[in-house]
Amino acid sequence: MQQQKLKPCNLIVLPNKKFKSIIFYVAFPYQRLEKDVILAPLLGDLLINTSRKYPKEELFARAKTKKYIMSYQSYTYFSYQQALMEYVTITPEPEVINQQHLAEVFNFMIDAIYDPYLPKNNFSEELLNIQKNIIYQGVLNNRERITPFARNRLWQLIDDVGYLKNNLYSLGDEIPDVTPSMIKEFYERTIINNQPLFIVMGNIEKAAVKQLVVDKGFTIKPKYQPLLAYDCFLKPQQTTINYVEETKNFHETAVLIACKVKQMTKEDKFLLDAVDMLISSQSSNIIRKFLRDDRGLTYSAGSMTMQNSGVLALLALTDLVNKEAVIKQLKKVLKYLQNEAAIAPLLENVKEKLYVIYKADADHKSTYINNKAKKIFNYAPTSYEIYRTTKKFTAHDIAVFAKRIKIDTILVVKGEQKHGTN
Amino acid sequence: MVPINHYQLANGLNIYFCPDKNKNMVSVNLIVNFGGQDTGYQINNQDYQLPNGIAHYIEHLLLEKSKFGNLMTLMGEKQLICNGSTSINHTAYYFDAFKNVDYGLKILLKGINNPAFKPEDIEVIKDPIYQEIRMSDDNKYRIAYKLACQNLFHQIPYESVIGRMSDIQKIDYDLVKHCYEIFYQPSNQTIIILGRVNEEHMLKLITDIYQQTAKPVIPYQPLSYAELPTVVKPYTKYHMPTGNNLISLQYKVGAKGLTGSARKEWYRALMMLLNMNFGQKTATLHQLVEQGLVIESVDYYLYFIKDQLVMVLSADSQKPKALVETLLKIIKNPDFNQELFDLNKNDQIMRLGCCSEELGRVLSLLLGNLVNYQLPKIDTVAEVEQFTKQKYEAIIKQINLDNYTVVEIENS
Repeated sequence: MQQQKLKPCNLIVLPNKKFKSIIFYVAFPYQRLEKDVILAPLLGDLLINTSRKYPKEELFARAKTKKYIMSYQSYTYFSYQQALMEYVTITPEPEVINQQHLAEVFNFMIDAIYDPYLPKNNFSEELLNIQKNIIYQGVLNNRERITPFARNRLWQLIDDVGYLKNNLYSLGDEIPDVTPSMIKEFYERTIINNQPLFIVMGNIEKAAVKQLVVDKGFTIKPKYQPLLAYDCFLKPQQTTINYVEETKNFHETAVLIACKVKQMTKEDKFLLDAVDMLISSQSSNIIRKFLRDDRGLTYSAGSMTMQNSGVLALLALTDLVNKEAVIKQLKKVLKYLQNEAAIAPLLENVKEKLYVIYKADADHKSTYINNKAKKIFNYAPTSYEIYRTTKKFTAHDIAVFAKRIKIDTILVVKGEQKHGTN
Repeated sequence: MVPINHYQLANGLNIYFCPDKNKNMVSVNLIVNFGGQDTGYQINNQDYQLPNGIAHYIEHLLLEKSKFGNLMTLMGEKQLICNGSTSINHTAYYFDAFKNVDYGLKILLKGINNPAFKPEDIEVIKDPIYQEIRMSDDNKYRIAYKLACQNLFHQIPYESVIGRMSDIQKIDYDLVKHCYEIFYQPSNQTIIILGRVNEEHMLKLITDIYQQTAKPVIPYQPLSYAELPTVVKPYTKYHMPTGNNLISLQYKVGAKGLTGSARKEWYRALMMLLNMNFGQKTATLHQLVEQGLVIESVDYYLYFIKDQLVMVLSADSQKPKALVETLLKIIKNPDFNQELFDLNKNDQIMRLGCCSEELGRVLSLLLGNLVNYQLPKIDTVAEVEQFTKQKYEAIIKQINLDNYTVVEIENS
């Protein structure tokens, strides 16, 4: 491995005897350019499937098991122009397999990230083409599924700045044009010339982890740079609701309502999340009551927020004949949020539920470490921060906020009422 | 080693506790031996046929129309994460809790064991299920599964857990009531509780609830079918909008007469065959990708239905015909490589060694053994270690893999 490539790192060790496995997590924060949307998953796939030492995927996979690695994955999070690339390796603690293997595991992960397979000093075109095909075909498959299709169509209709619509689904047609040099440039920008942050969690001593990191050639710096959570609140500009109806070849019909928040601020993000939970979490579930329990209009209905964009969207899958009734009921859901007396007990349920989520997160190693990363990089609130902030809200706060939620667009993706195999 | 404490009440109800004081949460699971495969039963030598989808329908009905109201809503209001699910061989009702565990246990067990559905509820429940069926008809994997079942079985009338719209239309109050009385007897139920449990207290609570909801015992037999070893139809092509074509190759493996550990060994051997020939560690998989026969991976799994074991291989493909030919050849002459065998065993050993850290994993291992093999235990590392390559090869050589069907979903 080329030691000179390594930038100083940050290291956080979380000794924890609750879990049987050890997690090695490394994150690279970076400023995201539009083209990175398609480059990030391609680079991630190349770095978790091959390396210089193991240039074939089967050899790489076999080496992982020989070194007692249960899982090695990459993930990318982004918030408009801020992004975080993560690599996560999971292995049993030494006692489980009776092996002192942690140095080998750590070295394997670092070699995979910092010493990739670069024939002719570039990523392999052959391997890249395979990953391009896998991701592109996945995009094509998604375009034939009603929920991703409808959701992305909605983003195209409401997003005039490119925050929501610039995603893999929409930009996927550019995947075939990606070259090894584009991946190399992205790799150097986001990994080689970047400062990694390691989080190691499990039944392991801090000094032992520090030794692993130093032995691999890293110097450890005490301070890390948090990501600035980048908000890009889409503004409700229309005076009338944009109504769009399209026909697609699905059995189901999708009805979506997108709302934007008037004069949205950073502080409102927690209110928007609380509204989302009031609408569709099991502790409140207004949408289920209005659409399914009372009217039998749908099997699947829910809401989603894109917190950093200030967008709230409601989605229901239904039979085409129910289209008008579903729109009417979804509007009632939004109106109901302004009824202080009605939502007061539901809000208390939501607060309690958030506390349970915070407790449940601590039972799962992945959510436990994700919460830690969120806190360090400040790219999203932890489950505890969400609970702590939301518990201060009153029904009045919610009702006042709900009045600022404006319907922007209604999209109906009409199914064809075919009979399929029935 | 995960502790499992077993109790059986006089009414035949089985209760398993897997305590773990390290966890914040408790997971409560009520399992009923009534699933999609239960398409008939026999009482006093009289056969009763059931439509596909009836177990799933009753799951919806009991959750939504209990004597207390909608159980998911009620539990949600008390911060219990509740739901139900129906699979081929069982129905599960469950909730996860940090607090209010007693409340959840009481309304779940009383709600399911002392139902209050009325004739007018029967039609109300159907609409969301019709929606679910429509969603399923937009899903190529579910379509392939249903068509493969039609191709595989001569006698077993099962084709999907949720059924067709025409199946659901047949369901009426009397049918539901009768099915409920037969399949929801306490002796046909199992409770599994994991995590931060107060075992003594919960056991007493459960015992009291079942005493209050005692029911008459109705002896019955599930209908058995003299299923032929051959398939009904070797190939079906279906057109629908889909990004990629899908191939689903399904083998019908007779497992008649196999019970308990012997049945489990067949499963273990076939899973090893699949891992060793189509897993990430195989050169074969990556050659299939390089040749364009498979886009990313060959997905595979096994399931039991009655006395049949079905082995499923499916893949998105741009060259479906060539893929089928290749898959068939590989299965005919599988790789018995020692290195791959050992590596796949190591994978299993690592995962078993760490399984206790996730309640969901413990539940899935115990439940799988209970419903498929009637083995009230979680596999041990020693058992995996004892499964040798010789044993694996010997089992595979016994198994007849000549009967299969292919479903091709083609983009239209």
